Amino acid sequence: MISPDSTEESQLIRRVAAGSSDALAAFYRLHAASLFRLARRMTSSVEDAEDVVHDLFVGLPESIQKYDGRGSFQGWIKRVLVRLVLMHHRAARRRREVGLEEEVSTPSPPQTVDDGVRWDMQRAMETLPDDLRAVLVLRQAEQYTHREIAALLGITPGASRVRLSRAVKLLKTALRGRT
Amino acid sequence: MSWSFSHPNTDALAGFASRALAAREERRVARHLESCTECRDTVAVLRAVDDGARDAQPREELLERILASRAAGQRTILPADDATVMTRRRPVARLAGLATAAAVLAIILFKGSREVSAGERTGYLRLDPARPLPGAIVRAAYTPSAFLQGFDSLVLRARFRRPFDEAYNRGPMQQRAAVLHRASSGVFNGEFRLPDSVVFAVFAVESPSGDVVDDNDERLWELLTADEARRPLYEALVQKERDLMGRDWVEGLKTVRTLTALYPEDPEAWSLLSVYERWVLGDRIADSLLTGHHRRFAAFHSELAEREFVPAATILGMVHYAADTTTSRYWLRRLEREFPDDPDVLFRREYQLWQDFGQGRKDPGRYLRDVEPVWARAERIRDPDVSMMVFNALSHAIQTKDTAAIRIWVPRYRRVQRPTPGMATYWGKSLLQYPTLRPVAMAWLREEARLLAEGPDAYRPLNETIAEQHVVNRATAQPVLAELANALIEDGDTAAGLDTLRLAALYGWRPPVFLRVAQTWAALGDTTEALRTYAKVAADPGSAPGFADSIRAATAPKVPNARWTSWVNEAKGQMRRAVLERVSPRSLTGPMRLLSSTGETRGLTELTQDHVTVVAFWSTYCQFSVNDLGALQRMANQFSSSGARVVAIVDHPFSDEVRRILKEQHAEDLPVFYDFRSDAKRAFVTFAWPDYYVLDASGKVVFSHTGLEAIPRQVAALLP
Repeated sequence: MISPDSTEESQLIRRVAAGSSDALAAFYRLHAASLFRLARRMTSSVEDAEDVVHDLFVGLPESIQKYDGRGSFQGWIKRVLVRLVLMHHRAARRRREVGLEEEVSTPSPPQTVDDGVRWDMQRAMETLPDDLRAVLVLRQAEQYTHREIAALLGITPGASRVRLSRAVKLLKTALRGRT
Repeated sequence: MSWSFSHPNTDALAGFASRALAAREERRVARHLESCTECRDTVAVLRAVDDGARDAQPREELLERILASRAAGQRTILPADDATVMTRRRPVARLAGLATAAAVLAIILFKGSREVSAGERTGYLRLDPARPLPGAIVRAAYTPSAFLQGFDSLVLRARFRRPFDEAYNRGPMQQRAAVLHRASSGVFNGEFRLPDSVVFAVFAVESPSGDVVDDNDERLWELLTADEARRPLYEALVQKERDLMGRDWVEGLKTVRTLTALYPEDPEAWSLLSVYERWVLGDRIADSLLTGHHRRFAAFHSELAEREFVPAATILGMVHYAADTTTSRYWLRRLEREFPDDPDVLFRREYQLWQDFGQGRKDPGRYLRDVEPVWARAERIRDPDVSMMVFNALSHAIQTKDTAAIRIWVPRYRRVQRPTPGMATYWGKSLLQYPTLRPVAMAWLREEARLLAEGPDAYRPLNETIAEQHVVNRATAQPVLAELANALIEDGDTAAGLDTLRLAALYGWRPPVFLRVAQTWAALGDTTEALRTYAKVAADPGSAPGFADSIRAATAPKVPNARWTSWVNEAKGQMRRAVLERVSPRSLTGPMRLLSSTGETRGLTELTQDHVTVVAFWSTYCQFSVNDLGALQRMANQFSSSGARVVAIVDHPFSDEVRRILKEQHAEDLPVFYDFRSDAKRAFVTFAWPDYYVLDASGKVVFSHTGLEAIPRQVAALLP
């Protein structure tokens, strides 16, 4: 087992950059699970998350050389993934921007507290707008600071705080079954 | 850390949930939580965010998919540069939902350019002035996408449109507008002079060798010419709408809405809007909007009918916008009386001649005689109607086998029509039937083949690389070469014909070409080459049932079974590779509600889920699409054992007429659905018939605007 950010990983990165399929597969086994979890939290379906991870790994051998060794590799690749998710969101949003008053899409049904105890968090998360969900996941699940989130999303730290607050409020509403 | 009143703010609660607070702050929050259920809920929710997707795992096949994509040469440019500045975007679809003309006007005049993050696949092109006068010098500054960062210079390509240019973007419409040079800031700069006659333009940026193109995510960048008050010109918006035809109908609707907002006094603009509403929004919504249109038309009519002079364009707008035949006739009579040389009047006259004498070949000679004076007046006018007139006349001459008339109308057609690759095949095939016209047809076909081989840049759409256009040109050239080859063989030049056929066969998977190659080999006595080529025809699932058996029966003594089977299997592999080469599946978005014949609302996703599916758009108004229904039914029957499906989508509510058509076409078992909200049309971006798509089992569109003949092999290639 190769531990992340180790010398072995440095060698693996070099082999991935050289175009080795075996190395890419090894690299995938090492990082795919955590990257997929992050992608899944930030997207609204398993398929979307897989598409993002697919695109990430398909482009990795050419892009991995841009990792300059500063900061952890895990942190770098997660930032790349987050940007990729945001690009997917934008592309999807552009496709949705049909601009027709009549075409308001039907929102996902709100989730309720299951047996009063277990909450279907993932499905409730899917009801959040992309921009709010991104802040919530980055702040809460990934422990980014608001400054880091602001840099990634192209917003101010203040806006990041506001989005976090709105995301939590919406999430609570969704989980309680109110719209 | 601070919070107002007695509640901690969300950040503090998030820190508490993550156990990331300093000990003192943590105690303060904990004390608060003891008595505040609302904040306790918040903490629980925040902790659940951590828990959400904790066990999520990618499916096992994802790694295989990644490796297969790489093996197939697929690459993604990742936003991997930490220095990337991700600027905020402004919404693109600003025209959505505008209720008043004033609001639209404000946005049109003052909306800023769209900003895009550097490092993404789409760069940012700023054109200054953003609303130039015709003939102005325009400066272009392009902040490159990740794909175009490594060059010293880039090429700005344009499609310039003039007031009378036709709808759609076929033919030699593109040109190089400027070379952009990289400045020390990394931005590429250049300038060009907008030709005086140009009212609208769209742009893309590409590498000097044309192998990387930034087309702004297929939307291109646009330039609308404007008046001194920065109001987009009427002609500019009309040309924008024509340019959008076939590539973005929803944007076309928005453009027409803009047209009515900026030029509310123009009946033609409103007439266009009512047409677009029906196309894009569907019958139900369009019907609900009719009352408003009728009221507006009545107001126009009462005002304009009093005037002695009304411009031709306004009268024509009233003809198109008319709510009933009586008023329509009134305005048409005025147009004919006051503007007898208007292209629309001349075209209507030609159409009337065709109805009176041409239709049903009542008096074909009379049609051709009487159309001459009409043509003499029309030829000097540059208008799309004139192109339609000459098309009709040439078609009529061919249908009636009047070779003298054909000789007259062919040069007229070629002089007036915008050259469109592929049309030579259509006309050439017809002209080759007549010995005296064979040289004309051969010359036309040769010229077209040469054009496609050279691939002039003017024909290359803005969003295509040179390599992509090369593939398109080869596919277009294939039937041209096949026709030419057939003619050469028929004229006795078998060697040249075979060479041409073999070249055509290299340009793509096309069984009719293979069949002709095989027949020619057989005629030359080379049985092995003939059979190897026949095997390709036999491998194609679209070939006639029994074809493989009959070929096999005829050749059994000469070729062992095992060899024949191996040739057919090899051909199947070649076919699959050829069919799947360069496919780029896309997802469908948005609601896709359809109405079944029994009135149930069904989602297209539900109909296509887990099945390779052919989606066929047809209309009761389009005879071409109606004629294909029987073939679609046979395909549906053929596919049923493999699990593939056909879904036929009609643009018309279920009625006795729909049922009659299905019965007449022997397609009564075809699953037909009514696209009652135009959801499917918008999702597929289709507003023409017939139009066919093939979806894979995951619901992605793999083949778009495909030909009926190609569908069986495309379906076969997608089946496991």
